[in-house]
Amino acid sequence: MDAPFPIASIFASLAVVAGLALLYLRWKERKRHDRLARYGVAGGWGLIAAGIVLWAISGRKDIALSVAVCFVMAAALVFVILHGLRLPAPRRQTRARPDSERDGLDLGAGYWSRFMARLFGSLVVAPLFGAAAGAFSRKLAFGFEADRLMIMAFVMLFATAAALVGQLFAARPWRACAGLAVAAVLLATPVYAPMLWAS
Amino acid sequence: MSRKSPIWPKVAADFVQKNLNGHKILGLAVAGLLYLICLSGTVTVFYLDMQRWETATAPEAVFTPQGVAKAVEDARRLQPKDATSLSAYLPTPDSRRLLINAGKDHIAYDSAGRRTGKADMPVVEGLSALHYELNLPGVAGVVIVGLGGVAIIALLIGGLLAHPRIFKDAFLWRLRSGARLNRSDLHNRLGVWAAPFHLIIAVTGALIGLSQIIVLVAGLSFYKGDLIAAAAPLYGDMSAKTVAGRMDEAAIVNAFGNLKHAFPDARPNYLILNNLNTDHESLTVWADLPDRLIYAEQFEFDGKGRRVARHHLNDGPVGKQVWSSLYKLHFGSFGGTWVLWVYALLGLGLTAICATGMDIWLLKSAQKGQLHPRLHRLWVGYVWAAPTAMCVAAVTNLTGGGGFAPIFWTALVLLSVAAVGLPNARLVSRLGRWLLAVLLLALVGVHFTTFESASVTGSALWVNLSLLAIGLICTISTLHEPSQKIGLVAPHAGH
Repeated sequence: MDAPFPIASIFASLAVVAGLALLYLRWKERKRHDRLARYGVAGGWGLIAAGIVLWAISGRKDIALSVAVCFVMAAALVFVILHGLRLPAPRRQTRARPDSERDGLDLGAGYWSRFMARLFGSLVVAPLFGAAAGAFSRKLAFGFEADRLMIMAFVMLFATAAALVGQLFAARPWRACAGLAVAAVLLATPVYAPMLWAS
Repeated sequence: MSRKSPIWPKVAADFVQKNLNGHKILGLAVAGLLYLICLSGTVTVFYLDMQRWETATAPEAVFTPQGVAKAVEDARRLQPKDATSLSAYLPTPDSRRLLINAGKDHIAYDSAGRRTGKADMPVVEGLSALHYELNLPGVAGVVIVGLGGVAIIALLIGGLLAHPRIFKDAFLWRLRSGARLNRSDLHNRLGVWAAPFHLIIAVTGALIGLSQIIVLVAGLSFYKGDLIAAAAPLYGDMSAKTVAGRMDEAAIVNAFGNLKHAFPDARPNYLILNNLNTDHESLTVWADLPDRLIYAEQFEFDGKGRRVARHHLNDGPVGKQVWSSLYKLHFGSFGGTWVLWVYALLGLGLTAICATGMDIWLLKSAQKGQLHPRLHRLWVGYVWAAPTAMCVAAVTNLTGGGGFAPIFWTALVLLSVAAVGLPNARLVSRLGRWLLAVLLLALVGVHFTTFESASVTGSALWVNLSLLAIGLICTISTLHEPSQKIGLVAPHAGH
């Protein structure tokens, strides 16, 4: 059975709610130019940070920070929901602004080439780039082997994700593919070249 | 009065547009996959409660070393001839079940170690297998789900970069301003405020799913292909190798006694009896440590119950502790019931992000005259078919028919395709919610018929009430639907 939360957790929760309330008020009244405008954002985030710190030192070791962040997220979404419920329906239906001409899937010239580039880049090049980046980071990292492997694991994930974003962001996806592939080779060379040389 | 210039630099429209396009391309490509993974993950947050719901007549058990030892001794007789190990889920305050695996079956025991019968859980196991491997054989499913985690990280990065109004719209949710604005605001607010949750879920899920790939890369790159050596720094020492004979009941009791002596706060939750029916049997015990994110510390005992090794998942290198913490962080099983509820609600939020992402693109396209009415009906049908198919599979399995996976996937495909034949997406949505409500009611009814009074006690009662509440919400939502005008609507928009 979990021990009851100590009293610090109650103050932590109150600080978080107060901070979010301040941020909400500042956001709602953003046309004002008074103390709320001047200190609202910093004060709000300061209270939230204080709440998280209070949670973290409430004596529940490494779960306290996780619980604190969960509380902040849940509380913030409550403010969003309450605001949504309070907002009346518009008297006139707002006509949404048309998006820019470049929005949407462009089926113009070169569509299938770009499609293939993005597919190849996402499924092949990005994971290979991630693996190379991870292996390179493991080679550079120092400390316990478990720490080096975890660094490698995190770098693999985030490098793959970043490569995915870059690949899909690029207006010229074949060039992005090529760039990522070259980067992957450069990162992999210091890791695998000695092995290949030795064999 | 002078206007202060904003503290945030203006983001170039071109940069935002490119990120938005990239976010959209990736989101559309994986929306269906991520929706299913997130929905099944949300449902299985309450895995232990659902386990008790599905085995409502199995006795509640508390942990006693003597009871566990007696149960293990009894379960030896039930193991397949070629079994090399025996595994048992030990009773904890959350699980309250003593279950021992015998081939593909689970056998339930009471606190005193007396066998009470089979306790199979095809629904719960089917749902969790759906989440972590999409019911696919081998490692393919696990890897695909892990890559889904990587996709969520990429979507999170791209989505935040494509959101220049992140502060201006901080609390905005235009609930009554039309479907497109409603869904866009919901998508963005959930995406921003719950971003830490999404990041943790994606990272931990990807690491769990891709662990074999990571070990493979490490093994090939740095351990000359020795994958066991590559995994050892993260998983710790392997089971005890000492030859001390067959483990009898006294040895198992001795093992738990030694554990209690060394770690009084440890709560054993799982064990494996290794090298079954040999002269070098050994015991591996997983024990939860209070207020720690690690799943469990792992202890090794020889055939006489003497502790011979510990994996140091609790106090080893930081990397090892982080690796051991992935499970609890992913499933929210670290802070009690209210954290589970926050995880479930945030998980539902992530599921909603997946659903609304596709919705937003379809609605925007319709506004620009690029209509995809069949795709829209298919998507809305799929969104409601997924939970409905889960109910169909659950009802069928509770009444003794079929496997979870074939029934779920068949129902999912049939219901989704059937939605295309309906006149518009709004009707698909309403019918989908009604059908889900009816099936939830049927599921509770079947559970009551199967388990009788046990279905209105303990966890089973709460699960059934929750299912009924979800059904009620679905029904009420169709009766009080706000106006869903989307502004400019081209003819044959399919709404």
